Amino acid sequence: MISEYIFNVKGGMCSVKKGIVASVCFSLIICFFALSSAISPDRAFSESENRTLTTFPSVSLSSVLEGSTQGELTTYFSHQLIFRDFLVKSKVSVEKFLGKTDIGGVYLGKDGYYIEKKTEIDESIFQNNINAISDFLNNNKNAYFLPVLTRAYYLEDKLPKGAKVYPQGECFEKIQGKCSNTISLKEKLDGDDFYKTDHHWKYSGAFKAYEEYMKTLGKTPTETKVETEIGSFLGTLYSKAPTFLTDGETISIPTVPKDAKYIADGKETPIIDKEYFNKKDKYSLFLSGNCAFGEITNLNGEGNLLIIKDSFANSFVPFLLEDFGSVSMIDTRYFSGSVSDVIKEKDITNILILCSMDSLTEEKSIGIINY
Amino acid sequence: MVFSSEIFMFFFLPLFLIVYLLAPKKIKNLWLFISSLFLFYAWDKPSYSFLMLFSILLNFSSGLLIEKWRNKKNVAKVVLIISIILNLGLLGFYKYTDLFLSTANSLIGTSFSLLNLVLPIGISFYTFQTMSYTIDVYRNNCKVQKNLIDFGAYVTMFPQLIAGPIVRYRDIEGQLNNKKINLERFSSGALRFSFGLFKKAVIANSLGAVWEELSIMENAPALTAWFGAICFAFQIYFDFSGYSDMAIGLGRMIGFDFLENFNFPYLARSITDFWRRWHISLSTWFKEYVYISLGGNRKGLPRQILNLLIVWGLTGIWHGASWNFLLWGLYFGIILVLEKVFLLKFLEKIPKFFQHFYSLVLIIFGWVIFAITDFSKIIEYFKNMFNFSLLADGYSFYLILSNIAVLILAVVFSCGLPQKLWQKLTTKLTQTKKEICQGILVVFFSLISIMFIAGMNYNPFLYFRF
Repeated sequence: MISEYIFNVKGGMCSVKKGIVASVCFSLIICFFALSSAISPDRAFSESENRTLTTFPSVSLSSVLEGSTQGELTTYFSHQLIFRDFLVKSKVSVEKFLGKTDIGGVYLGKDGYYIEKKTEIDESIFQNNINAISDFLNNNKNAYFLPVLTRAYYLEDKLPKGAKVYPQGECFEKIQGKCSNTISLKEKLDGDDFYKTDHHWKYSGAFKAYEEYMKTLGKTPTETKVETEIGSFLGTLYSKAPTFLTDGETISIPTVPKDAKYIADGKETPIIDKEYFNKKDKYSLFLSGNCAFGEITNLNGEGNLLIIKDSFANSFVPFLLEDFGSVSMIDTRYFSGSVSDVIKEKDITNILILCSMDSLTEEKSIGIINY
Repeated sequence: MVFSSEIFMFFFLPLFLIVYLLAPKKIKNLWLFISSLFLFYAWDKPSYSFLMLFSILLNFSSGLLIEKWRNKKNVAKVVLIISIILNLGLLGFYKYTDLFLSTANSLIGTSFSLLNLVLPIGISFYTFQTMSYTIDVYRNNCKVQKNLIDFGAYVTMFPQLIAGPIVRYRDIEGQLNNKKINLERFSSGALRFSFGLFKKAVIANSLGAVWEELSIMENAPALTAWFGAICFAFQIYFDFSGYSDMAIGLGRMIGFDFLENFNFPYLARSITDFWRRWHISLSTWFKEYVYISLGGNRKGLPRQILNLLIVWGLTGIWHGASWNFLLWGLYFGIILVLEKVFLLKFLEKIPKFFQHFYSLVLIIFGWVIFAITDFSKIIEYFKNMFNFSLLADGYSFYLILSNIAVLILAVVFSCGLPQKLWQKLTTKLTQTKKEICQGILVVFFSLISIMFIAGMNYNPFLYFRF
């Protein structure tokens, strides 16, 4: 009888057998995780973490002898653990409950705001980028520079008390000191122009930037309206510290000219990519994410614009489509061609460098613009 | 393979335990040996299993030869010396060659190219472990082991293979063929293991992440620098003692009793006391096999001081192939000499609070030397700790408050309060209630650790340098 294994009856007293409870609990926990992880199907992508997961590695005698299979298996077991997303969210929730506001590289600020934890920058990278851009602006008189101060600057009041972020305002002043033709959004944007859980700016932020750019060029901004709104958006920063109770946000999408044709890295791509509406990484609906070189043609405006960009420009570009004849885009992180060749080949009449302060202080690729 | 990982807990451990517990007595050691050497240890770099196999054969045969020529003392001595030289040679080659080459390059201008060997995991531990056997056989402190499988099992058994405790052969000699495996020991082992897991996955890793940020901070205010050093002090304690707990717990589950390796070191009242509480198996090893061999304290005070300094220099450099470790060892060596000569008598007369304060400050300074390998950066860090022009800023307080929960856990557990409470509680409860409490603790520690392990992008194991 099972009861013989569980209970001891000695001298009329019935008590639980020594060591049975903890042993059973421990064994059950181990077996549960081991078996259910083994049985459950492998996932190739984690929506909540926004990254690909390792699937079962290939096994060969040489890879086993060398140890690479084992290394992959270790990662595989870690990635395919049952209830992994739930466990990660539990961990973040426990830490948050215990008062930790600095998790996974983000600050969990007031009112549900996630703010990137970037306390220091590499001065040399920043200086190189400023110098490169300054040279570019001096050589191209039709070029403007629109550096975007990121959320950490506008949301200082949402930071946990005492939390440290790198001084963006000072960096911006250095830019203004060195670069001509720089458009400042410093006073124009505020905290409401940014998402709570994503590092990008919202419709309102991108539109204000568009208005400023048009004003600088002496053109009237085209009226625009919101075409669609999609909800349940949990952004890039959320992925670093996912929790259970974070509300999704709404992304507003502007109308886009119906005849516009967008070619990204040689492939025809929708400007507003509906495939992303139901995925986790919703911001990529703008221009279907990043590509090295993209071109939008078949537009009704005048002039050919070249934007040298990071992902901030993705939600900004749709506003420009009535104002130019073509819009070309280069992302320095992926582009390996020559920028000056593009300027000649595409008959570029206007150039705009649009990137965030984070890119300016981290990316080493910006220097290619002068080649 | 690291204990605090999914692959160990949900693949190796269940596989090992099922076969081991079901296997007949005679097969248990064989399975322990094979799975530890060719699955657990070989996991990270298969070729190094053969290195360990060589080390096993070397010391096994040395033991047999010494036994054979017990009557011919000189021959036995030669065997012992050769085996020690080969053992240390292996360790020295894999671990210290690049240190000597690069030091020669910078000191005398040679341009040797470094070997860049991957350090065989645990080589510092298993080399010392096998040498303890050979030396003990020679000194007639233990019986020679004539069964290769049993000896192999002793050397490779996975609970203590990678990070100790350094188990002397004679401490488990009797247990190799006389294991006590029962539910009670299994459950207390499981509790010990899950507690160690909690120490490492939750406390050590969390504070380690803070140290990682603070260790490279330039111009840190004093409070931040001190806080960083304290975080490291806790990280290394919970990491290492957690690992020892897991090792002892696993050992108990499979029928072995290892000696304790830590005894609340941060409760020490002097540095002498600290080293009786920290990494006990290592200081015991050095005392028995080096200090006493050098003559210990039996050749007068000057010689004793020299012996102490040699032993502590070696203890330091054992921890890693970098000169800051030697400095760390000598740092403590000098303090220990001073304590032995006059400081201890003085300390005994001052209030306990100051004894603790004295010890903790010196321990923390020690950790700064231990944690940073570059000498100029060590000096930078000390400058920050004594940065009187900037004592603290908003960020210092933010760091402390954000991590306050883990900090409190760290303080409380390093003082041993919960552990003592648990001891008292178990004597007062009925059998059933005690069982249920044990079960609850195992579930709590395990689940929370699994949660933290799942959420980890940070899970380094400090003692992997060894």
